[in-house]
Amino acid sequence: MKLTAFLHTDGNISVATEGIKISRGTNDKPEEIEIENSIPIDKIQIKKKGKKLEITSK
Amino acid sequence: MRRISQRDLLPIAVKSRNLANFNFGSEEGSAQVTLANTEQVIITSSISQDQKYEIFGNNYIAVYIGSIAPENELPGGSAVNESQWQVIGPFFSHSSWNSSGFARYIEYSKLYIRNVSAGSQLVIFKNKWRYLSPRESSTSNF
Repeated sequence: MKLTAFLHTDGNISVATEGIKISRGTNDKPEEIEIENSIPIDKIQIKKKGKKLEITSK
Repeated sequence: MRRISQRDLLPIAVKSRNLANFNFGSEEGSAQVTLANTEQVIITSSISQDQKYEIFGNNYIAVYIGSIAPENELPGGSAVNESQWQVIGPFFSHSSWNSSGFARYIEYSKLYIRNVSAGSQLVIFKNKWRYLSPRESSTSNF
């Protein structure tokens, strides 16, 4: 499953499958990073560690 | 032309003309965001086709608070207090359509969700497009 992680301007991270964009408001300019992942989206946990994203299952 | 009487056999060689050959379902899409009080999110979903083919789509959407379970669905789930949430949409985006130059090969829908007072919550969005098009094989590129 191809996912996109959104690193939002306010520091939050969200995630969506292909074809969905997430914005947290008019001032948000999210950085989009494509990731390949087989974990169901409601079980996924993404954290930012330095410049890298850490993806784990809940 | 002679009319068919009630005693005549009805024609059976008439082909059914229905939409079955043009009606498809997309893969399921989903998204998750965490919203604290007063935080908001705008979720835009799209389905598109090769530019030479038209597409007409309907976006089926479900929103869950915390985890995917019937009682957590917004609106209507027994564990959800709707007064803690503000929801605008979903809309089929007129503005997106026009800015793309009257694109007939792409559909957009938008949904706004704001956490008014539910505390920090995981919001899970699921969707599936049902679409009419001359061929299957839709994509989801913006």
